Amino acid sequence: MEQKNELVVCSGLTKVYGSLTALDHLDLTLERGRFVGLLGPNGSGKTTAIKLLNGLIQPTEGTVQIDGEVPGVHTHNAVSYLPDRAYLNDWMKVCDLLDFFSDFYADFDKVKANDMLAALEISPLARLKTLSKGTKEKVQLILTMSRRAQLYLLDEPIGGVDPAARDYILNTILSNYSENASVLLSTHLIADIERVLDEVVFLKNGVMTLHESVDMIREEHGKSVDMLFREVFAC
Amino acid sequence: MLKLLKYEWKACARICLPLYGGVLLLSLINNLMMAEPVMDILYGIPTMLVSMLYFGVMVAVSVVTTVILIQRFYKNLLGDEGYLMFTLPVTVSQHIWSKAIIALAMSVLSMLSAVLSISLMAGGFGETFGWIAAFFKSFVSAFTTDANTVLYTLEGMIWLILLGLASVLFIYLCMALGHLARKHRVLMAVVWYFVLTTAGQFLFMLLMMGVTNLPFDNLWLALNSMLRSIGPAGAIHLGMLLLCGVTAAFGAAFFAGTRYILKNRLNLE
Repeated sequence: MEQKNELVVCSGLTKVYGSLTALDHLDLTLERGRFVGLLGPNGSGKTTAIKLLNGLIQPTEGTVQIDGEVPGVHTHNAVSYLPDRAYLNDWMKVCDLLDFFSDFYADFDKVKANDMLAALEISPLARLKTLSKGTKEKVQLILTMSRRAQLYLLDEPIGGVDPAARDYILNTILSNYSENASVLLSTHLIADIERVLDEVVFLKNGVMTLHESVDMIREEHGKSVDMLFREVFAC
Repeated sequence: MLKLLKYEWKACARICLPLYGGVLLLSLINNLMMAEPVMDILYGIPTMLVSMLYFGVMVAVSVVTTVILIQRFYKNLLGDEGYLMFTLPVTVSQHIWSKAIIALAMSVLSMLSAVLSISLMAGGFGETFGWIAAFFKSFVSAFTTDANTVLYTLEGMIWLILLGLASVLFIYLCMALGHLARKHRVLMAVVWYFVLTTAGQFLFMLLMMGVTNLPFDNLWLALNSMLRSIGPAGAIHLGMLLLCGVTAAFGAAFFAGTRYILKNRLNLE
């Protein structure tokens, strides 16, 4: 069966918390094989959008579909998700976590995970509890990127790690997703990731203000994404 | 499902099993201490001490087991770890079942360890193995002489398992209901617990009053003659099966409520 080119379809996606509208009628379609930056200042609705895509929160209004289905067992198989927080059992050893992931995800590549651990000099026998915050984030990223998923949802994957590791991680992300897969990466560190992006989505106070390819931005606006971002979100 | 059970078992066992083992070891040490001649002089005090310890051990083991049962559900599903669990390609039902089954297994183990520890404390190794052997012997002899006894035991055990599962699922339902609130979710879970238990008691009371006061004479007569026709053993079996059925129905309702909330109303912070 031929895969449709639309991987993510959000229509009228809205999330309201009490008096706060965290995400306001988001209409967004993402295609396969794209590296998309979800950009916006703190509190603009980036994490809310990603949580909705994962089914961790329920929309107040609107729908979201990934690979043609609402979030559920099928989409969890298709999506590899890196949350913005420590979400692993910290009494487990790194190697236990590798077992856990390969037990539940058929597309988890343990060899690749071990290679990345070795490259970043993280011992598989270390207990998560004993690792520093940055190292924990690296472990989480390794677990996420060792899957052969259709969509990678990465929520602030480079925020907490040092610049040297940042380069390694970006290269890891770039070299680890297949041609048909897409990456949706949220961050406010635009300069670091600009070179890898195909398209960008700007969020401001829960509203999407821009969805365009990076090439178009350079052509039409004659400036880099970073410069445009600073302009649009100037305080 | 099996994988979920495996990890749930690992997570609980790493805390619970050392605890139960420790309790058993402690009671054995106590027993040896009390065998010292010094204690004979203070005859009377040791027995009192032992009975107080029984009680303490029982309370400690059951409290820890309950806390772990609650914590495993709350932290692992509704806390930050929910980000991992709810993005696994498994269904909500599988999550609830795996948690409930392991919680039940832990409760059974905690009770076993409490009973064993009491026995060890009071009588030491010899006696403990003595009564366990006697228990099995009497069970086997009952099995060969009277089939009804075996059936009663089986029905009783099934009922206890159902009751255990229903109780665990009820606690899960309260936590799930608490999760519906936007703030103070733990507090709301406790509030729901008290609201539901009080409402349950009230309804039960109303039902009892209704049953005894309403003019159901014909029904009672019919019931009476039916019970006579099936004999006392049959009546007990019927009663036990009814009890099992009602408990299972409650458990199913608690399960359905929890599943609905976690599937359709999940909002992790």
